[in-house]
Amino acid sequence: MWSDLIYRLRALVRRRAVEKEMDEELRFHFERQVEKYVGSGMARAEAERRARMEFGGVESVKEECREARGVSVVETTVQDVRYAVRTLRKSPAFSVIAAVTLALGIGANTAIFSVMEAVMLRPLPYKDPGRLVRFEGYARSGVFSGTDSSVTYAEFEAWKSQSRAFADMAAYYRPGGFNTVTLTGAEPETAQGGFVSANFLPLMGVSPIAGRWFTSEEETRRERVVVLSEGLWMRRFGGSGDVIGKTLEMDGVGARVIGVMPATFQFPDRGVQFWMPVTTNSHWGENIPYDTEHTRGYWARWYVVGRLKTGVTIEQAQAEMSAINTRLHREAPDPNRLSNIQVQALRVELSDNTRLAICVLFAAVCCVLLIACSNVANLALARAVGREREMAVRTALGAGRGRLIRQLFTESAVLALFSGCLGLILAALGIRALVAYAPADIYRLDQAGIDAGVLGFVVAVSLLAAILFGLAPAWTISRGDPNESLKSGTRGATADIGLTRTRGLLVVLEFALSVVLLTGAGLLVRSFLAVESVDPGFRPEHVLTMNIAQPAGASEARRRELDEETMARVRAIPGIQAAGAIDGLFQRQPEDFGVRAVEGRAPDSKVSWAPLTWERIRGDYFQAMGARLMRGRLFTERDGPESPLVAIVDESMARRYWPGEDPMGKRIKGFDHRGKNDDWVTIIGIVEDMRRHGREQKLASHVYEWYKQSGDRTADLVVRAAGDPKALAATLRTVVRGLDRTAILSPVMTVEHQLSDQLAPRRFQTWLLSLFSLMAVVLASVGIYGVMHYSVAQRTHEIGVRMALGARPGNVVRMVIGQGIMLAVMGLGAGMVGSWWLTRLLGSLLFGVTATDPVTFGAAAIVLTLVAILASSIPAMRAARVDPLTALRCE
Amino acid sequence: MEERIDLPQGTLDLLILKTVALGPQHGWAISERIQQISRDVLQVQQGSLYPALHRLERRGWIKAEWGVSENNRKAKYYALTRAGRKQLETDAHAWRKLSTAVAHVLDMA
Repeated sequence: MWSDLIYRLRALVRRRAVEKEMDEELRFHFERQVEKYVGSGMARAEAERRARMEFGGVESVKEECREARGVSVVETTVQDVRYAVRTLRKSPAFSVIAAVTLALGIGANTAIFSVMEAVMLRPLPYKDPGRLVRFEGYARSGVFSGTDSSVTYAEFEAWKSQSRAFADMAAYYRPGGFNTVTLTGAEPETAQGGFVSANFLPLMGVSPIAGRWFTSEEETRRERVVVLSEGLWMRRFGGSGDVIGKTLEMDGVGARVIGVMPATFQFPDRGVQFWMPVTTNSHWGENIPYDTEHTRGYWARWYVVGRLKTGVTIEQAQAEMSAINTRLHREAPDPNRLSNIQVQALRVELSDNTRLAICVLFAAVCCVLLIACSNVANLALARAVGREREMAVRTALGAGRGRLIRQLFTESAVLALFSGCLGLILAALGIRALVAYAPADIYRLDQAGIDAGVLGFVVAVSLLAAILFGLAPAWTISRGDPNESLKSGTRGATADIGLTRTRGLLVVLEFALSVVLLTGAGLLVRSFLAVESVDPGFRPEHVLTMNIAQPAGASEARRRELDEETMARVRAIPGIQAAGAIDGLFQRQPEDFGVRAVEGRAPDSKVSWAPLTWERIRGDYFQAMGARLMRGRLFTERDGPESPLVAIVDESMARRYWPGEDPMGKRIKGFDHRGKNDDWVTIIGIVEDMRRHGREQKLASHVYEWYKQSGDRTADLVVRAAGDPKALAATLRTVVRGLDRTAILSPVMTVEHQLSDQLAPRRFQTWLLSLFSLMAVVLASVGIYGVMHYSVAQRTHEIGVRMALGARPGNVVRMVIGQGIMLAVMGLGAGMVGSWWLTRLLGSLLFGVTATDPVTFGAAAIVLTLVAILASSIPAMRAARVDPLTALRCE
Repeated sequence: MEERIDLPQGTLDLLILKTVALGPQHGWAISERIQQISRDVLQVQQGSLYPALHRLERRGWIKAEWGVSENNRKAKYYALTRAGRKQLETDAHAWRKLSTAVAHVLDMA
């Protein structure tokens, strides 16, 4: 073994030297022979002639020596590959169909894999991200009770000074309101910043691409220095190199630019545009009364990120943090402080639905690839029959079974790798389409692309495919008896029964997988239709909306005045039917505020408050949205600050608190912003339930208040246009801007568009899964067509006999189609059982249908049966045209 | 020359092993030797000799070394290795058994 290897290596590495040695050896032999003849008295010329004659072809001797020496593994492989390419080129139809089929499977697989890799698998873009942790605990503080990650600064400082498990810990402002600033300028905009400790960046282990990060001295001195995100740098400074030292104005105060971060750095959240010292936040040092019921949201406003010391496990850190936390609670109990602290590895924040959708899609493309593989295996099997003679000849010439299998496998591998290359091109296009059409809010999706990992995946998946589709043909071919094949000269009839069974099984498998995909896609389509048909409770057509935010520092009186004027001017725009406003039309999720008291009922404890949202509205909000008033009246301008407090509730609210009663005139107390918590509010009207936050969200109850009484802003303008709303958009913006130069205006959008945006992820998943199941069905139909076609060709003689004995063409057609249906039904059966198990994994992606929806399952069965009938009808027609005479004569 | 017969497959290897067992030899000498000892019945063609030598070398049964020949020329000498000696014993034994058996069968007729 050893000597063999060394010998081969030598032959490979020192090819030249070995060749030269062989030359010398043979020349020596020749000359020695000549000498022998000369010694026996022959003339030199004659001796040479004779020796040469004996010697024969030197080249052929050399070639045989080379062969005997054992050509290197590399050389055989090269030979095999050449042979494979030649064979594949000899049957272009097979090669092209197989390559395209596989390329589709591999391409789809690769595209989805690259998304999965970018979104789920790629490590976070920080140094040694495995050692970064976050903290989560439970707060028992009044309305803020619940799982939370925010802590008070004192809490953070205690953790930092008392723990030993961490190399470092940094605090930053909780993403959201605290980090929102207005970037002032010609067109003011709202921006999210990261207000973080100075040690934050060293802790994350990332460097700025320009300039520097701020120091702890700057943090202590509360210096207004800012590090820009790449996006902000591009947008506000055109990506210019001399940005360092320039000033960025936010909320009317300047900050000195000292650095720029790379685009991949998006911490604490994706929208972050800049970073500043935690001490420069406008809420730093803000002092509002501390209480344990209502103010946790203000006091506990920091999140903490930590880096574990090398050698410290999460469990050890967890044990230490639990001990510290228990001690803190013992020394000074405080419901505002988190309890049950969990130390968690920092990982990509991905919604469960996105994660699930990506996994489902990946499983789907794996099925498609499996179907593609069985199709190609089927084709290769059909071709294998034609190659039995070739294989027999090679066996007779001394090729071992292992050698044949290796050769066949090389062929499969060449085909698969070629398809892999094609697939890679498809994948590159696919990824581009995916990124372009996918809903925008999937973190890091835009980073999906072909990289080393994806390339490795393509190679691996191609080789895996080669094994899958190459195994059956290699086995079948190499098993053939060379004697039999050579003697009969045609295909050996004996092997064919097993072969037909194998091919039938492959088709059954294809159908089974198609059923799974089809039912999965069907369920998603039904869910999508169900979501779409949910009545949103308002008429979104012709409705425009725009958010008007005021920069910090504007006086409250001035803001109200502007809101008032804006409403008046907008109403005056020709073509506008109704105009109103609300605070938080789409942006906000339903809040966890309830009703503190309902007249005539025992007081509700806070724990039993169900999610309920208090909304402030202005103008003709309900008319603009197109929501119907079911009972009572709407607000009027007479409902002023001094008149009795009134509210409108929606139907679900009415059902919840006054089932079977008339809520009109009933009184409630809310948790509101006016500081008049103890005033009774009278219900004057009931409106339709509206699902603004998404048609698939659970219905949330609403209490609507009038702006004149609640005193809050109403930032979202809602306008109903008489005609095409898009034509009004520009006018609307000009009017508002003309009135208020400092306001931050969002783009004007149609409500219809926003509603459709809410459905974007669902639409996208449904569309993709449908596409993949379509691919599966097409491939499966090609598969069944191939098998039936082959089976008819093989049974020509039998069919001829049948027809000679009086079978009509109709009988033959029925027989062939019946055989196709048999295969399909077997596949359907297996697939239904599989679907029954698998569709429940779709879980939260389903809406309004059960995982085993009989309609979907039935439809899938019908579609696939029809496909089977269609695909086998062409071979069936062929069978019916068999001429008994010709068929019998063939024998 | 009419006496010459073709070697059954595998026999050449055995003959080569036996020849080099007597001492290192170059290719030409091996073929001469086989011819002499077999009294001209067995003639080894270069076309089969050299591939056989290379094959045996690859298997590690003989090893090659460049040396100086009887006529003072550089030549490639083949010597039996330990594995080759073992192989020679097995093969020779198998051959004797086979030929005796064949002879028995033939004598019966």
